[in-house]
Amino acid sequence: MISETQALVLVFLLMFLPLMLFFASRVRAGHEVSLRRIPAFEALPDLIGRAAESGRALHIGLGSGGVGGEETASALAGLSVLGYLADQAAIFDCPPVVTVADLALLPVAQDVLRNGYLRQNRLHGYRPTAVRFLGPTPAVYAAGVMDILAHEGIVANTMIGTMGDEYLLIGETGAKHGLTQIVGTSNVGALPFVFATADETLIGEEMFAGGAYLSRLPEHIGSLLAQDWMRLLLVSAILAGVLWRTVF
Amino acid sequence: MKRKFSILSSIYVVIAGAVGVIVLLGFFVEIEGLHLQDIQTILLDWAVTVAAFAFLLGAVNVVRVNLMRIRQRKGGLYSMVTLAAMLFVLAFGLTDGPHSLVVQWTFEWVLVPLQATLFSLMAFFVVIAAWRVFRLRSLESALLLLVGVLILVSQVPLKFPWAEDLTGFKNWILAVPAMAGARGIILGVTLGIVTTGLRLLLGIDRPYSD
Repeated sequence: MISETQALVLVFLLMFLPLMLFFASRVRAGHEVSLRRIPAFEALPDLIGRAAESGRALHIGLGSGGVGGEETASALAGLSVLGYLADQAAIFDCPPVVTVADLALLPVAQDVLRNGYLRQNRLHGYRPTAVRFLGPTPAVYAAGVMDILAHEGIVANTMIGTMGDEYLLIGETGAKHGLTQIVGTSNVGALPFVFATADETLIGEEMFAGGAYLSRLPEHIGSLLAQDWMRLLLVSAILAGVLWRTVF
Repeated sequence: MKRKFSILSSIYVVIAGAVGVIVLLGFFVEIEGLHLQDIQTILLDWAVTVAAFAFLLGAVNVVRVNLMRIRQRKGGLYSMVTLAAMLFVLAFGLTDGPHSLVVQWTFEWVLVPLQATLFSLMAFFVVIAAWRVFRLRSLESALLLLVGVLILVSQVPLKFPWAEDLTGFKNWILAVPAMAGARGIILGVTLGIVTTGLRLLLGIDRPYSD
């Protein structure tokens, strides 16, 4: 027998799926969609340009989370941005420094970076050591990134993934060295620190929209539209619930 | 960015999708005789076993990156210390097991104090970050400064005439506007996570292949 909560989640998922497929097919058919501006995604190509001009590396941090747990979706959001930056890094021949704190995420990040070089027919430029495993705990990861930002001639810092309080140590080091920082996290507790230190921020759900904004795949744009409709539905349900409880 | 079709990639997508759907269904459906929960447990155990192999890859990565740093003379001394520490702990771990006294001692008296020391710096970093954020630049930053100062003052254990009103104001700020904002963000994040999961199940996002 399935519980009430399980049934609700199942219904929610079953409603989400057709909406996603419907909007993806509309976008594929040529339906124009205007996405609101997200300055962080607009600033990403500029970072690669600056890295290419200065001959210095761009740091791409995937945060202290990994794949296989609750933080998987955040790690995937980071990988989606890494995929885009890998293409750009291969085109402009400016290898980034990618850091991870999860052992299972390490080969995945290496594969995503390698695929970027492969897509641009520049596999000779790919180095597996461009992706570094710094340590499995937030403090060790933060210490590793602080050292890289301070001593390896990094031109800008991009961090998208799961981050906790340790982000402040990283963000302040970046700010102290005058690095342009683009940071996105889904952790509400770390957002004040991100807001205090980063030039551009990806707050909450914005970090999951990377695929739609950067690769413009119809399926990604479709899923973004489905997400908006589901949000409207949820907000309407909340408002209806409040009215119901207030009146009856 | 259009994907190229490849048979291998399609096989990956089918396997990943099928495993994902079975594990997901295990949370919702109970079919007599099918034992979805058992299959789910087996698949999750396999995932843990496969992930354990990543430890080897991680160790190789640490060695390669630090050797590269030593060769390039970029913080070579620190890299030597890292490699030496890694080999030291590995040697005792392999000979005496993970409960080796030396390994336990290293964790308890080296790693834990070092991590605590790093996090103790947070107080200074918070002050510097607050200094930057609370600068008066716009109406929003002025409001942030005002509310920040009022909340700070309300936490101070001093008795002044309107201390109770201030505490009430602080409680209201934390329970209503701040909580409303946080819940809005959490709602958005949840929707983003569901979308990402569905894209993964459908093979739209393929971090495991291109």
